[in-house]
Amino acid sequence: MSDFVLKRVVALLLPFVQMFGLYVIFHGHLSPGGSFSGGIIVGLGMIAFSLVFGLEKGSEKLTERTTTLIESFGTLWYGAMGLVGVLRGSSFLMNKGSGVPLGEPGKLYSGGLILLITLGVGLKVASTMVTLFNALMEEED
Amino acid sequence: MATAISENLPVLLVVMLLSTAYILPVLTRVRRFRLVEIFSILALCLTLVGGAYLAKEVLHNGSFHYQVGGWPAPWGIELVINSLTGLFLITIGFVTIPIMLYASADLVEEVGSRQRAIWFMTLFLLLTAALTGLAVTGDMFNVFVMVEVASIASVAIVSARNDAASVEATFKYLMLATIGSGFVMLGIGFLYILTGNLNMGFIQHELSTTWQNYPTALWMGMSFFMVGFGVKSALFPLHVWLPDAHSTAITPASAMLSSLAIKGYIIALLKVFYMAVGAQIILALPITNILLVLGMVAIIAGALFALAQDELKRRLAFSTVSQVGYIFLGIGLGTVQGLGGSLMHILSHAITKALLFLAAGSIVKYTGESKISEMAGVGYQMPVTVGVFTVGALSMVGIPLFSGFVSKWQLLLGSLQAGNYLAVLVLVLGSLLAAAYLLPVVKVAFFQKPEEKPLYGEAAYVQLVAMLFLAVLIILVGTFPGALLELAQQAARTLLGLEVLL
Repeated sequence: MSDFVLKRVVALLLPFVQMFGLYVIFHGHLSPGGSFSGGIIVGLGMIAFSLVFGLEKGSEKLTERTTTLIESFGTLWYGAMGLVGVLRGSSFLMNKGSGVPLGEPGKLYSGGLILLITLGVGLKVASTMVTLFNALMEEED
Repeated sequence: MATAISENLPVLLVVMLLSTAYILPVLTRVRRFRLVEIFSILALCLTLVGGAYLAKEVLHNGSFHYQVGGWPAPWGIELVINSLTGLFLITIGFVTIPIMLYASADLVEEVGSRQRAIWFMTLFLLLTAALTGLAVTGDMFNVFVMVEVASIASVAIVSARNDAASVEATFKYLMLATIGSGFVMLGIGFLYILTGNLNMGFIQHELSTTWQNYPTALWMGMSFFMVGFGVKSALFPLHVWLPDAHSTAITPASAMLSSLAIKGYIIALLKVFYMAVGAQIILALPITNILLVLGMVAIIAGALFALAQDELKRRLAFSTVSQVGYIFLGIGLGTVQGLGGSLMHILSHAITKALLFLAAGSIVKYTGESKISEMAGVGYQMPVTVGVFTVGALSMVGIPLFSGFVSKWQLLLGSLQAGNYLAVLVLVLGSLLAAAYLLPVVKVAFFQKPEEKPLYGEAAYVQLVAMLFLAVLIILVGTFPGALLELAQQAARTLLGLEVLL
């Protein structure tokens, strides 16, 4: 594909798409959305890049190795956040009870560990979207 | 630290297995592949240790609950650890460690590349984690999530070899497993509509007072569960995916699926029936009678199908259909003796079938023959492999001193106590048929002279260790079943509500 307009538009839009995805991830506990929908938006940004600029360029930007690393990191990050409670002597995934400050209601940081956990899940979902897309595209060869 | 671990052990086991599964894909660049394999075996060993610890706790101090996130029951997710959990965790440990050990010898060669081998191990550990989750959970939606993870992982490991036959089997399995999941989901929906709860204890509490107002709706929900879990655990008329999937997968995958994966769904079914709905309601509905009849049909039909197969792995796959019938027969009896027997059979069939599949896989791989009729004299070349196969076959038939005897004896006693002489007849006939379809393999391998001079040897050293481990386990469980049998019977009493521990 060598469509100039398409490439320019996507290049202009992508930062905003990614930004919006991150916004949805980080505001999961305040507004509709969350790590799944936000992660999918971030992942779709990457897929749009691959569709317009070609698979090779896409996998140059985000290699298979990187997506694997992000995917594993997201899951392990979730587990690690759960272990905070265990290490503080309370239960797995415990938030306030394990001494994490909850922050002010209504502000961005107002859910204790929830913000950090959704970050991990969002990363995992985003990289899984890219992996699924790449796997389906490779099938056609 | 030690108390933090022991208090949170139920959830930590699942988290540990999941984390290990997700660390593995990062390790593709580790130069010595052996280290990756040792790492994953270590995680499985920790599961066995943790499971044994939980079983000991339950046996001495009774069941206990664990609240994830510190949220009490109707709001948070609750884990219930009882003797059923302990027994199944021990089974998982017993079976997965030798299978992983066996796989480590030639996994890269079997699946094609190091990358694929790591994916296989990730899926294997995910499946183990999901089964562990099924064992500990006390929440209906958690059951569904774990069932889905287990289904997807087990469907995917069937296709590990990536040849035409296994991909076809995978597709068949995927379709039927998805239909099964749909039915399970519908069943959960029914329970949720009727009670407004997803927590098993709360569902039981709610139903115990109100179920007579809507018996038809409840009966329908139960039928959905029966069909859904029936497909997944290969109950006789719904077993069509099993022979293909279990005979075309690579050896460790077939061993894992046939011995453990289908048992996970039976455990889930038992949890739904006895922990969520409650023994009184289940025994008042005609569910157990249906399971009893289906179990009896499965025993005979599975064994007859097995007799008709000439391919060794297919014969073993149909034998699984027959043995699942034993488990459902015990559940159908609805007595402590019967249910205890079928829980014991879950364990003894798991170790026996794992051993049989591993040995059969070695025989097929090293001789290059997959048909029983062409295995004449294999025993001269691979005495240890065929020897442990004999141990497995004798245990499957139910000869005393092997683990199969313990569970079949319990089932027989249960049937006699219930006064169900047809079940007694079917059990004995099933054992005779098991002898008819497994012992000819031994006879052909040991007592027929090979025609030409073959050029193969014994299986790899590590694989022999794994198979010998299982063989010793079968004999140990068969000779000293004490603690495990007690655990199984305590689990049966707990499930039937005779021991207020839930």
